[in-house]
Amino acid sequence: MDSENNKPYTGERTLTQSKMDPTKALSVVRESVTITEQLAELAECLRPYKPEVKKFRIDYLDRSSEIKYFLEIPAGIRRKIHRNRLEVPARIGFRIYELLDLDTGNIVSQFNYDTAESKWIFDLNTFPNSERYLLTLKGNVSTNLLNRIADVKAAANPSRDNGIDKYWIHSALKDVSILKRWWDELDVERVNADVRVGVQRYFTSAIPSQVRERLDVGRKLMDAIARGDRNLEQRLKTKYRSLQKIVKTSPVELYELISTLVSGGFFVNYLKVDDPFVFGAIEPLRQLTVIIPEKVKVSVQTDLNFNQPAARGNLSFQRTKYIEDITDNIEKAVFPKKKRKKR
Amino acid sequence: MKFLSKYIAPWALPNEEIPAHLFWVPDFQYDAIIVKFPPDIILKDLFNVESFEQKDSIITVNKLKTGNFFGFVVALEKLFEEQHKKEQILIDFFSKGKKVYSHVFEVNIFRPKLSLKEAPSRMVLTDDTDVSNLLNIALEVSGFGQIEVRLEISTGGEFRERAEPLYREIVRRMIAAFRTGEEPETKEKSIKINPLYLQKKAQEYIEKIEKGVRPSFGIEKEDFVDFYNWIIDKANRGKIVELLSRHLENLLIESLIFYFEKHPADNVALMQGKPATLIESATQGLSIRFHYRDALMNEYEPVEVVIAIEDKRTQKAKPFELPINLKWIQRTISPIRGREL
Repeated sequence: MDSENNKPYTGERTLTQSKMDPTKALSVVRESVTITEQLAELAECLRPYKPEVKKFRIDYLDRSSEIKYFLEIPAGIRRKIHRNRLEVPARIGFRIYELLDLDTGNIVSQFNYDTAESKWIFDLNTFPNSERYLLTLKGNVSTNLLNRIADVKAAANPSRDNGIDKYWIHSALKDVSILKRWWDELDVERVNADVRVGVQRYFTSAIPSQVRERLDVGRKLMDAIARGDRNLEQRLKTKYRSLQKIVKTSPVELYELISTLVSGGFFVNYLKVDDPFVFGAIEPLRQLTVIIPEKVKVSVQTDLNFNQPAARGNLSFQRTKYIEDITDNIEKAVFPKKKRKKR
Repeated sequence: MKFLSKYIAPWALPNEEIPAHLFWVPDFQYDAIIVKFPPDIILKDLFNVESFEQKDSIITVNKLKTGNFFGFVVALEKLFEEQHKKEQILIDFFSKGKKVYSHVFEVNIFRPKLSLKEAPSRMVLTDDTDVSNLLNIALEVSGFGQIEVRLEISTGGEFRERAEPLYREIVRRMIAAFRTGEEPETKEKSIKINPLYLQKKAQEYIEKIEKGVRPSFGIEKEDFVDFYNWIIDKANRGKIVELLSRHLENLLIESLIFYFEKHPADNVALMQGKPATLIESATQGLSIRFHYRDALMNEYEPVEVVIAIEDKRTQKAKPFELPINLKWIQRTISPIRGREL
């Protein structure tokens, strides 16, 4: 342990901040202040209509937020006594998404956006004769703030058992203090963890030796042509042609075939994830210095809230089945006419 | 006390962040949570904690922010010899100074390990030695997880890393273009190889040469200055790029061969492809260092092999390339079962 850790420490320290760049930590604090201020200002605009937060959602993947207010707008003569305009300035950071008339179930479309003053205006005189409404607003959330709200982790290496590779996944709400007031209604949705499933080795074992031989002879042949060694060129050409008769795939086709076998559409068939996680995007991890993707990025998502502040589970990859199937696919492409062994 | 969920990530590498949490039915009464960590384990983060005190390896949580949920992240930040290290984290809930509930989390940390099983201590070169089957080394991969292996070879002087095969291929072609001054043909090839990949690779190699690294093949010391000037001359850039696109097929083949050579065994990646070394006339000995690291880039103590060379050839002047044949013995363990696979 280093000396800093040996010192007793008391107080409200966020441990991550000690590792973080101080300017970044400060900006997170500022942002959380902003979101609280924004929500306070919004509540002030809606105050005459007794706003009550019904749902506060944060979409982790979209980095967006959504807040739903229950509003009471008196009807008939009582409406006349109230101000007959409801205004929401755009600078607050939330935009009006929808206003639902809860008495009839219809969407209220009588509102305008005033470009000159940058605000939404509802003319209550044109409203239906209902009293209960649900107002939905949407906003954006920065990555910094999301990282402060939730924590996601996945195993770097899988454990292996009976031909199946398993990766543990964990996500948890880390610090919801800024949203504490809405904690009961808070839902952080699609909290996303990326699991990197390694496939690098599997193609090496799935490619028949004749294919590698064809590649090797092809390389030597091109070298011989480049050097002008006619004798060697002749010998290699004969060998190359005989290999070409057996191995029908060109290097380009082989490259394209492998690219298909690591694509999300094919790969998803070999994956399973425990509840409460669901799959998001699955795509090969494109690294600039590697010709064939060596890993497939599998996104798994879950919602976190009051009832489920943390989620845990495993992502399973059916390694043996995948190797069998890619071997089969490659053999079919490489030896189209040859009688293949039945599995 | 009734728990809805108790969890710690079941396995991890050194330096890997290990999350854990406890989530209980709200009616449970307590006023402090005391967590005792082993001295090696570093606390990285706390979940849902409003205030806490830390003294050495003991954390006292006085207040949670919301609800009935507590979590933390820990890591073992040092490398160790054993393949598996087991540690315990003790959590006690106190109410009015009395312990009302205890829970023990087990931390399981595994590492990969490379060790030498078989290597010659001496090699004799004669006129009819079959060099392709001369140098055989067996290595054992045990423990847990994937490793990246990088070879450093010395034939007397300093240790040098062997170049990637694609580097050899691209640089060899650049040298040929520099020598012959050939003008690129305009013939187009319809190869769908990721152009960014080649561009990135070529750029990486050009930068290496720009730094003054002389390729160990194809170019003599006295020619290197001219070649270097040719490379750094921006006027030749277009020529180099065209040269690469003209030889796309070769480069694709080379890249595929490299890809297949890179993964000789399960859980092993050979970063420079199939290894070989150049034996020159005065070579009397060979030292090979196998550097390796895990998926989190933890670098472990390298494995070293020293081999004496006795050159009995009649024509010693001719340098030749000696392939290094590696055999991999697997003894990996599964963290779930905690035993060998």
